[in-house]
Amino acid sequence: MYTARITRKQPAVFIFLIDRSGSTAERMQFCNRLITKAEAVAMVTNMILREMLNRCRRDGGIVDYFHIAALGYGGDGVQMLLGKDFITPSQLYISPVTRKVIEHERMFPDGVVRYYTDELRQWVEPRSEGSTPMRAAMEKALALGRKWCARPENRDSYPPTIFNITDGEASDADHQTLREVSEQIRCLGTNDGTALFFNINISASLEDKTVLFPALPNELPENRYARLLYDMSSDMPAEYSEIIWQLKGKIGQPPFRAMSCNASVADMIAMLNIGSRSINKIL
Amino acid sequence: MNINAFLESLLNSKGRFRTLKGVSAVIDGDGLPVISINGECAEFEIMTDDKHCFLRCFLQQNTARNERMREISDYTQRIYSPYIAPQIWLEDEMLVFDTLGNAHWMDVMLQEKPAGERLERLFSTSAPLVEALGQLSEWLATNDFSHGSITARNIFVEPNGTPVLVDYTHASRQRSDSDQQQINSLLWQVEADLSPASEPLAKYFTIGTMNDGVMCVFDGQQWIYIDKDDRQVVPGSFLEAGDFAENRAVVRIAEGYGLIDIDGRWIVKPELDDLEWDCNNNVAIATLDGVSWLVGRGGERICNADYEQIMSCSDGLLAVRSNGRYGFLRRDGSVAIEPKFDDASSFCDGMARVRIGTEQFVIDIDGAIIQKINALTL
Repeated sequence: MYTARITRKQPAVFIFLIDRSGSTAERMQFCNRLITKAEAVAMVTNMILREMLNRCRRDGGIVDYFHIAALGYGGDGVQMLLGKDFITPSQLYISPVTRKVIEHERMFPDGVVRYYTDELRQWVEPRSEGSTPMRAAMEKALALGRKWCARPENRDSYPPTIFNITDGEASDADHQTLREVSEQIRCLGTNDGTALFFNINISASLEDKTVLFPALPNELPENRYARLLYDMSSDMPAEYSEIIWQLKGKIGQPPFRAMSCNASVADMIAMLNIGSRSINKIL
Repeated sequence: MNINAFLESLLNSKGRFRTLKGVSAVIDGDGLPVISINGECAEFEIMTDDKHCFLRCFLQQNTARNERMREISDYTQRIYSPYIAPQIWLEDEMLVFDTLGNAHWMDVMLQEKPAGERLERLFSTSAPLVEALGQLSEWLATNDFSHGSITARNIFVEPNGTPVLVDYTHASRQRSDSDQQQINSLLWQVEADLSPASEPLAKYFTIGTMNDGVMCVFDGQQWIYIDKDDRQVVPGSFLEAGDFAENRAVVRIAEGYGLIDIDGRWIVKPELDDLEWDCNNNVAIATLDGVSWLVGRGGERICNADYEQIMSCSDGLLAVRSNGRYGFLRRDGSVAIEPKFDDASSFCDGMARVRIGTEQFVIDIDGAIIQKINALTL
């Protein structure tokens, strides 16, 4: 299980659910800068999309190894951020989007600091508005994932990877409903295993306890919402155990749960990097 | 480490390389650095000291692989062979910054790019290659070296006809029969003049699969269908195009998705929000304004009702959703199992998983329950 190689005929699928509710206007720290949560999530998602696109480059062309969907939730409901449903890397490449210039500070080993600019394409734009219709977004992701898994040509593919990045609680469902929908998402799958559902809770607070990939509920802070995220998320397959164990500072025993609580931007990047490690399986 | 981190160092090379001098990325016609990704290895084309080289960087750390690369590098520097491209393993050579700005010295493999062309571009002028590949095969059979991935891409043919192996990412110091098998396969392709369809990649942005004698290609602005000689054989150009299968392909134009035949005739008019063609079962799933129905090979509607969702055909049945309930259609559009489940998966090996309320069951293709499932075991 979780061993399928990614080929053009056997692509992998990634679905991003992005909280764009009003609370994501709150600012958080990233590399000595203060940016809104919405900006941080959009930036990190765009970086992951760029990496996926780069991984598909072959001899001057792009080979479509992935199917990708991104859903925003907030404001007036659920928005498809990359088109009708799934987008391929070659479509991602030609999609007309703005570019944002980001300045990076680089401290060289000899102590010299140099600055570089990087143009990052904005497939996902930051937005902070309204409530948090997480259930509606999860149901849409479930429908997309179900449709993808039902295609016979995807039967032997690497199972779907679904990221839900949020800073707060759903406004359109109670905890039990969210547990039920997330169970259906986790039951999606291919012959190579069931879907990996990540729930990444980010926080601007530097004081709240951060939990990444907990192994047991007793690692969680004392609140109902953390327990909900734990219940909603997938157990990580054994092949991810070593790298998660390293990330956690060699604490805990697998299986680890695909969730975070009160994550910083750096934690979010680490989780997404681990969650998208299947992109290394391109044959 | 991600590819962009390596790219940043290549495009801003000052202070980023420990021993290499004058490093610059080779840029393609679109103004982008020439990159090819092969599993965990990112291959960049660079110039250094006025030599055209491949710089191979590894996206994940792997001690065993690094040891093997070091061993292969030592070996290939000790021997002389016209079939081996000079290369060197450079430890802690390239300074790369990760997403959080942390600096890392990375090991890289540097290999001179041979003169000449990749074998994959030379299939049509193959005659002298057969003998040369035979000689390469003999050399591999008598040396303690296995390349591990002999493909038409990993052989350059120098102007004098010598085949030179590049990319030793999968190489080892143990002789292997697989090299001989891979060369035999290449010899067969050369003799049969079977281009592995890589030639169009040089011209087109992306390509589909050759089916029914045609393949779709994208030139950066539109999709068209060409034959193996690069002639457009299906009239029209499209915003999206799928591979042909059994003389049918799904395409999209501004008005929507439709189904065409190999003469470019519209079998299903291009006015749909989505269309999925299943050549194995001769049905297509059409969707417009949130409503789905089945279409036959001739474009005719073959089911009586509309559905909220129709999933792909499997074991001759298609899962459908109607008024929030799931059931199954046969591929002729008739109802096999009435929509009565709260959830359902597609059939696999004659069984499908369904849910009624909070209970889950396995049913057979007649809809009979054959097993109750404990949800916790799913």
